[in-house]
Amino acid sequence: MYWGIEIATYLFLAGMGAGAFATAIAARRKSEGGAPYERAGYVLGPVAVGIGLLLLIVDAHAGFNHPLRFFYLISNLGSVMTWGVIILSVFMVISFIYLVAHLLKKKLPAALDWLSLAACLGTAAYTGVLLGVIETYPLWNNVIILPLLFVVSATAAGNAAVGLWASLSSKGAYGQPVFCEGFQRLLPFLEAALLVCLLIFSAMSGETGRASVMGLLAGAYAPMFWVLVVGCGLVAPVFLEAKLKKAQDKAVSLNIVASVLVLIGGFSLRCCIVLAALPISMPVFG
Amino acid sequence: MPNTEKSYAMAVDLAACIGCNACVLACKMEHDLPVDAFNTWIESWDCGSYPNVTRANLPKLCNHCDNAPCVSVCPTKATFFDENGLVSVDESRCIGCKYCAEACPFQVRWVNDDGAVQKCSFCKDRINYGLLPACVANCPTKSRIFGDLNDPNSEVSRFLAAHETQVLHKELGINCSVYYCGLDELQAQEKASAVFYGGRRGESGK
Repeated sequence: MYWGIEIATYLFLAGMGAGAFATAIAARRKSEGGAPYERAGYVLGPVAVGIGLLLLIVDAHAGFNHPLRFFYLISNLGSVMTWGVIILSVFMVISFIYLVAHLLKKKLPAALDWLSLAACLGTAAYTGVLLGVIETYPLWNNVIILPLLFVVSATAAGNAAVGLWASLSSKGAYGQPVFCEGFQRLLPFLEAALLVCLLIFSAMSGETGRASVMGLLAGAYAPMFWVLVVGCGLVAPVFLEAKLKKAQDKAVSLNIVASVLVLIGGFSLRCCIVLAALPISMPVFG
Repeated sequence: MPNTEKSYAMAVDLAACIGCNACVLACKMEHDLPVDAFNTWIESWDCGSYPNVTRANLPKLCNHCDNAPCVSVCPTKATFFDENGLVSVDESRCIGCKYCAEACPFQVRWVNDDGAVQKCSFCKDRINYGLLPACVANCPTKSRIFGDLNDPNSEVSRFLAAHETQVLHKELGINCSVYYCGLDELQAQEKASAVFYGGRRGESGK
């Protein structure tokens, strides 16, 4: 009720940026042909997360008006938001180091990759935990499924963003970077399964949770949920992927379409979760 | 929350509340609140079916929970327990992230013109001078009873000793300091209308 589209956008950008950076690391470790993906991921990571953070700062009006107050952000180590500030700071520093090293063509130690992947995982998972600890909204109140859902969606969105950037900016790279094909193919199915679990848990939690789920499935948010989250983000990419497999390397435009659809789906997922959640303080009628 | 010398609490006798909104106006005048901001409000709806219909009036305000979710989520410690255990806001630390507002199960918080989050203080500036909170002092039916639970002779201690009361969202285990007499009966009744949220946002559904 207080958080809106700015926060949903931030959750999406933070997840997508983390996913994009992780994709670049994976491309780096695969060595051959990864250069366009690497460049895309190193730029997208810090830029997307940075834009997300700017959105947060603008949304936090009192801090925007009195910027020195942002230094208090690490006062309460019990707050998930404080964890987030620390995790995102680490992410921004590491991803910036990779970007600079890439631009200067310097080689970074391979051991740093694991720390980077941990920062990516932390960033994407944190966006779920931030909402997951809030008991007021039954749709959010799940500290396992929601972070997992956001991590899976962030991975898919990061892959798609890197693939899109690489397709648009270089002639050689087509579509999504392949680093762990089986897992990447599984992503939309995993995301769908987690989404179903989240909705079931929420619907079983009581009247308010059920009303929130109904808002998504058959209420005000149903068009966004079915068309954008399910249609664009989950169903269409699976079909396009099957088509791409047959089309081989003539399919740049198809790949671009698939990537854009995944990104739309990922953004809409965050919007649906943030906006459709109803608070328990509001009696539900009907 | 640590044990404090005072333990302020409020009891609301729902049978006595007529939904007149004197408490709401007194609060708004006391704290000079903007038109769309409320530290307390009354939610009203109709119960039962013809000819046995009644009007439900449920005053809401900050519950000053002992185990307040808003305090634990606040990243800057702008929301904290004061020396009397009251959930308070230090505006000079608030960045306006609204995490507290989302975490509050009662959704009592609002954002001021400067972007900082505000809420009911149990009229700290009045009670520290021995006055009652504005909403309590102005209730014409005495449906709001206030005092110190650590003083067994306080009005609220005596009321709670003599009446069975409930709290909102007991399932959360957050130890509210606002007790309602007659809440279970109210919530058990069949609802026959939409809820009027006392002029707050959320009126139209979401």
